[in-house]
Amino acid sequence: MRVVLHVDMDAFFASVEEKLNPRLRGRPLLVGGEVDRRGVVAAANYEARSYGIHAGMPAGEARRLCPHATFVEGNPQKYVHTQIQILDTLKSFTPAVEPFSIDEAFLDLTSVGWKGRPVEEGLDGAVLLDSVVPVAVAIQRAVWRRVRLPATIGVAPNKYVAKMASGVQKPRGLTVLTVERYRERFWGKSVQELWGIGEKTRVSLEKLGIRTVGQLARFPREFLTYHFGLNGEHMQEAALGNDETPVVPYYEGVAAKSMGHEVTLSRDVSDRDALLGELLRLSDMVGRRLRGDGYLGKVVAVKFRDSKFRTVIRQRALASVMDDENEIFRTASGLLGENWDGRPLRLIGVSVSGLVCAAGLHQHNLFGADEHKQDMRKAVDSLRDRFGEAALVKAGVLR
Amino acid sequence: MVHARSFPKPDDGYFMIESIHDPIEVITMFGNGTMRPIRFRWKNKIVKVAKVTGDWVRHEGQNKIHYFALLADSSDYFEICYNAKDMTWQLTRVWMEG
Repeated sequence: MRVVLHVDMDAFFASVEEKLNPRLRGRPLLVGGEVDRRGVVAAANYEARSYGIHAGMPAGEARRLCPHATFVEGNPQKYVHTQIQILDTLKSFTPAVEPFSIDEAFLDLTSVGWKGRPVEEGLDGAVLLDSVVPVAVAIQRAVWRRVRLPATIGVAPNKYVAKMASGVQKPRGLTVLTVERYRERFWGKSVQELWGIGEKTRVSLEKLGIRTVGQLARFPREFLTYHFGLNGEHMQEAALGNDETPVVPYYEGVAAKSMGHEVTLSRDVSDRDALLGELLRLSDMVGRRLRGDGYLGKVVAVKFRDSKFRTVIRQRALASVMDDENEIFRTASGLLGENWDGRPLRLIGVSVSGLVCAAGLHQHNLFGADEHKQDMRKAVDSLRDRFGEAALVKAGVLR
Repeated sequence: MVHARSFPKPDDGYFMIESIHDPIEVITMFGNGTMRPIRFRWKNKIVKVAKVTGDWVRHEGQNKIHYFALLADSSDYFEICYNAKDMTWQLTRVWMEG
């Protein structure tokens, strides 16, 4: 039986801001991309959450719910710096640490010994998992000592149940769930309580008469597969509390599936040239990330959202894999031109998926034109590596 | 040059300026492989640092910019940065009692 911990930092961005500026404590605090109310809430502290505010909510709506909330402009460097310190602390307990997001990580303690760990043979999972509690408390204390931030921990025999366990009690929570306890706790609840099931899927499941996690767990699998494909199987396994996914240690790395950037514009924009300029800037960022991380991609997608929050995502597969920002831009701008009706936009984004490792895959044509372009990209990349991203900017971005 | 977007409003009792790029002069203590601002001069005022509440680094190419979050004796909050390339200090964010 595995012993998996999910460590979830409580209201991470907001907690970091409160730690740095203690005068923010005790009042509703929102962290977001922009202070002028156009962006979305990236994090809300618990005082702000009591007003119904949550991460991902448009800042304007958050301001309506809590007009006296303090809005602080987020700063990724601060949070990444803190994340590195937290991961460093977690690694002192086990090398099997998988960073899951900037404020979450999975730990696999299966092959780790600790004081009070029972001999596994002949014991049920509960005894083993319950014996981890002092270790989990030690992890919370170590994280607090290092970065002065609260963490919640879920303990379970797999990643999915550990993640669900960490959501049971927050902040500074510690919950141990065996698969049996997980079923007791969640089977009577709405399917939307499950990690990965949103409103749209809830509605689709309800059409099949599935409202609770227990109903999803017991539903004939072939019908779920018929309606949802492979995702139907995954949802049922989640409802059952089954998950064989390994904890992938940080040093092994996790292959990226897609890379993208999006931006909430400072005002609604209907000017085509201005949107293309923004699209070029984002395409440039995506291309640079692909090359930096050693990936090539085959599918380019454009995303845009109008002032009434209607979101459109369109994608196109290319003839071959690439990491060229000009090709990303050409495809993305083509998709925008075909699908945008001229309404003012508040958000625009570009992403590339269908990623493969770039090593040895670059194509060379007989006439050397691609090689010339690759050399130029290498030169631009090395200049930016040395002098920063602003050292060279495409002229089209400035329009 | 000050890009001032005040929030909360001064009549809330606080005044925050989100983004400043004012040059400052800083007395700094170096030791144990770290640097620690002690006091700085901003607009002809001396600010005494009561506590460094955090620090982080931003990379600009190969250049490193070191940031510090500070509480002053007056309990005002400041963020300042040191640019290793040209050895200059800047005040980047302020939170003051209104």
